[in-house]
Amino acid sequence: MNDLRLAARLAWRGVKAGEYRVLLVALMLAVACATLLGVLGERMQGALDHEAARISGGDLVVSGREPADTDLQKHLSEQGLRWSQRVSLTTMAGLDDALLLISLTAVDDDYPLLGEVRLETPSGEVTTARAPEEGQIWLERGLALRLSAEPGDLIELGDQQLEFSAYLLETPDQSGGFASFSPRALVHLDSLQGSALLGPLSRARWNLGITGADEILDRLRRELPDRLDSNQRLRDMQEDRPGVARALEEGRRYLGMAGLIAVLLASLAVALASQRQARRQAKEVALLRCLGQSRARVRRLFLLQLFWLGLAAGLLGGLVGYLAHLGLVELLSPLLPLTLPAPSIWPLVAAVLLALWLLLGFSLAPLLSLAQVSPLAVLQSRPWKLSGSGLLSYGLAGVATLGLGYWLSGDLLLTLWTLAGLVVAGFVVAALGWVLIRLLMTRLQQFPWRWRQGLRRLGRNPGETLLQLSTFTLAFTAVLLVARGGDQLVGDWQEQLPEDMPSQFAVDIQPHEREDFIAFLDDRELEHSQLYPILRGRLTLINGEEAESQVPAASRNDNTLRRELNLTWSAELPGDNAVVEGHWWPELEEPDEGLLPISVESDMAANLGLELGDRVTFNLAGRAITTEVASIRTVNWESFNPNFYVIFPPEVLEDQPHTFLSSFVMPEDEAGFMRAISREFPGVAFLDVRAILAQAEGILRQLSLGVQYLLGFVLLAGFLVTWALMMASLDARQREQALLKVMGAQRASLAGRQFAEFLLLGGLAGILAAILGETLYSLLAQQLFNLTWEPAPLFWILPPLIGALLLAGFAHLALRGSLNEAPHKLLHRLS
Amino acid sequence: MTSASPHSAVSGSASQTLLEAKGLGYSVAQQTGDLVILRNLDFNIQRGETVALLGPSGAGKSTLLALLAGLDTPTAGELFWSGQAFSRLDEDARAAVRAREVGFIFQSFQLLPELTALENVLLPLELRGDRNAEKQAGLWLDKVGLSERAGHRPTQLSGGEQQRVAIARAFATQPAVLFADEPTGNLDAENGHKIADLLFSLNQDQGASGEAMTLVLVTHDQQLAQRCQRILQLDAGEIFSDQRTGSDHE
Repeated sequence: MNDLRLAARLAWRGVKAGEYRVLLVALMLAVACATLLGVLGERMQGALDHEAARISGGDLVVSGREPADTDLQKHLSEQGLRWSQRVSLTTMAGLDDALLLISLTAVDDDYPLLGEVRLETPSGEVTTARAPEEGQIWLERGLALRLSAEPGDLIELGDQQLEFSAYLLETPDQSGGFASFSPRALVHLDSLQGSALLGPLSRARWNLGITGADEILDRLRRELPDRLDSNQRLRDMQEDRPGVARALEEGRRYLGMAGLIAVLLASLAVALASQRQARRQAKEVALLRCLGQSRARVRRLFLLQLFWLGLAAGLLGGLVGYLAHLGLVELLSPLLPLTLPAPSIWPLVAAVLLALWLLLGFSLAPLLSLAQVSPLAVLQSRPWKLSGSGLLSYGLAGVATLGLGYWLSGDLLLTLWTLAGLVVAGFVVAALGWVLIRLLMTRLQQFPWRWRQGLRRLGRNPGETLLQLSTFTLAFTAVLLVARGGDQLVGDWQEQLPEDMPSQFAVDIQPHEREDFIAFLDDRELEHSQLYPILRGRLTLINGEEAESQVPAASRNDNTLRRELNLTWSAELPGDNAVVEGHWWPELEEPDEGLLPISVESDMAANLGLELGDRVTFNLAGRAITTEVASIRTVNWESFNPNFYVIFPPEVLEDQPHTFLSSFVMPEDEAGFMRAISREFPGVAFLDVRAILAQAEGILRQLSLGVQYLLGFVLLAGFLVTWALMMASLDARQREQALLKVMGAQRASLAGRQFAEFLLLGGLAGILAAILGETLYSLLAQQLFNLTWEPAPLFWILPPLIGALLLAGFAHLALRGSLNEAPHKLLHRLS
Repeated sequence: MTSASPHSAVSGSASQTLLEAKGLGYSVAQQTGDLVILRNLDFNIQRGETVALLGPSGAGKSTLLALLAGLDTPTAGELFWSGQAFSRLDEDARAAVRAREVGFIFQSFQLLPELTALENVLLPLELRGDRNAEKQAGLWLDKVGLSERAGHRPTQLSGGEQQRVAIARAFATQPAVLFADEPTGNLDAENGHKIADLLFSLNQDQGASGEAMTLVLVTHDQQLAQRCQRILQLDAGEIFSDQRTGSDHE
């Protein structure tokens, strides 16, 4: 207990004296970054789960062709759970002579269980509400426009007439952003009671949303499947995750990568600062040993000091990270759900643990080697050389970094590869740097005196030079990579978009409407795609076995196996497609056993492990059709033209129920055109591609902003590494400077020599960082974001310049004091 | 100068003997063979005695001091501390003896640069868990005349002032033995005198207020050595003279 207090006092004195400055700042930065990502991740996860529950209409949802029976409802009420019944169906809505296919939802008085409905009243006031009253209907503005409906009009729904009383702006069970295929309307469940719309032939889907205490819900989740009818199922919340969830998760991973780089850089600074700290403390340890302290006590005192430093850095870093996350949340707010759950205490606990973990990994080995310092060192004037910690040092640092990477990324293999890549890159940079320096050394006589001196110093200490070069290059590469990602991604993405991109998709075009629909577009001279037939079918068997048992483990929960797929047939290979394996129809041989040949998109084939010749069975409206994979295609999805995962040959499925799909470019008079086409083709639904693109671009833009926000941390970490590197060799450099001064070297020549040395080192690191950074960025852009790499001249010119000036500037700052100090004073101070 | 046999100059009962060297030797293995630094030394140091180890550079003075203080172990012979075979103790046991009974003053002061003068004096007191550490440290800093510089760091003090802080640190724990390695070696003549005066006057005060403190100092300054009661003169690793000076620090 006494030692704990004593260590706290010793640590505090060290902090006051500025001894632990670099170590503490580096530690705090690492912790702040990790906390920022931790808190943000936790809150985003919570928000996404909440969003999914909101969109599903409850934490648990029982879905079926018929309403849930009253026994189940009674059982739920007895358990203290809240529930709400709603029914969704697609039906025709009419006003005067206008008819339109709409997506209708009827709800009870307890709707919505989570979230709220937003309305605009006829007077223009935006308000929140629950369910409409019986006899009323709320319409989306677009739907009202297409029906030419005004508030107060009576809308016909089957055999009912309901009064249009408000504009529907948003319901909680709407996956936000992406427009639904059919325009939406909301009514009270009682309005449809007894109507034919809910009759035996209705294709209505009933959903019973349930919410309540977590433990009761968990119990219910286990017992419910046994209580359900064959036509009912318990819906998986994941199916209803918002469309942006995937993008958000991808984005979080990208932000996480930028954050991981900052944390790794800061950890590197921790390691460098710890090494220097240990060297500086060797004499202190010797003195303590002289004063009669045993090795064990010295070790304990230093360990306890580390503990206090870790605790302080953890708490402060955690606080900084928490505050910084508020900034990032604000920045990403257009992307995030309206309400984020409150953060828990765990990220702060994790922050402290992380600080201790980093200290353990990067400071323990030098500290243990300190205990080996002999008390005799106090009688010796030379600095004590620490030894024997190499293997332990690298081992512990390796384990700490691996653990850190795994903790932040959640992926051990990715972490291993990243670290292995870093080590290899470090060696490659060191080797390249050495070759370049040797090359310059052979031309030594061609350089002016100061440059010659600078170069000589670099060549004389290869170990120190190459460590500095590779560390600074890697740090600089990381900064460049994040800056490049933040700056260029949106621009590169926009450049990828095709100029003749369609703006609208039209779906559910009936076979008898196809010619009229094309004629309608042609009459108005609108650019459009061909009509693609669409059939809905579920993939059930692969090679005669249950599909789920045949696919790789990672794909068992793939949506492809759980939902009906959009299938098509086509005689021609679509323009954005290329066959990479097998043959297109005309070149095919007669298939075995009369199986239908199909063409499968390459990503889907890879996900499901499908190969040429595999037999795949689809269920098309109750009819099982077994096919054989005849070709595998790549698809350019970025063209935004209609494209399909599975294509059948023509003239074999025409007797199956199907509709058609087309895309076209919207004319200038959008409202008039939409009214006209809705009147002509009331059953056709439209999807605005521009809305999807705007949302995708918004996500990318916000993520890019987020990355730039994190760039601040990466930059700071990069500076810290540079500073720590500089400090690591500071004592030796100052001693050398003092001696050279004693021998008559002028201040200006020393400054010039030092300036040349660091300009060279920084410039070299900048060149190597530009090469490494651009190589990595091109790989990332192509592999991760499917973008074509375009060279950015600034990212080639600026790094060597910035690197040179940065290092020279740092060196000037670090050594300015000793340059101006009288040599005897400097030597006195250093002794 | 009175020359004497190394074995005859000091005598006393075993209870008064603090340190006893028997055939003490120290050598360092080198590629060309062992380099002998100290050879076959036999002598005693009594409690309360002030002893100077005098000799030219390379005579082995500092090595002998390190062995006497238990900072290193001899490669030959034995060293007894209060009758106990000191050189056979392990490192931690020797450290425990140092913590209890030893104070140090170094040529290069060895103050911790990140601590203030007061904190430097405080350190050994805190290490042994003294309750009144801060008060004691302030008192000792006052005794060496530096109470007004208590908040200054070593780099803000002159060499003489730094050594005074080191003296306060050494005396603060009131050790039984004080080892001083060239305490004035880094100072000019005037400051050297002042430090020597301070060292001996504090040693005397200590003796007057309780049990006398043993002082072993390494120096090549003849004048400083003469202020001790006894001078052990070393050359080439051997004691070639052991003399009493007649100094009044008895």
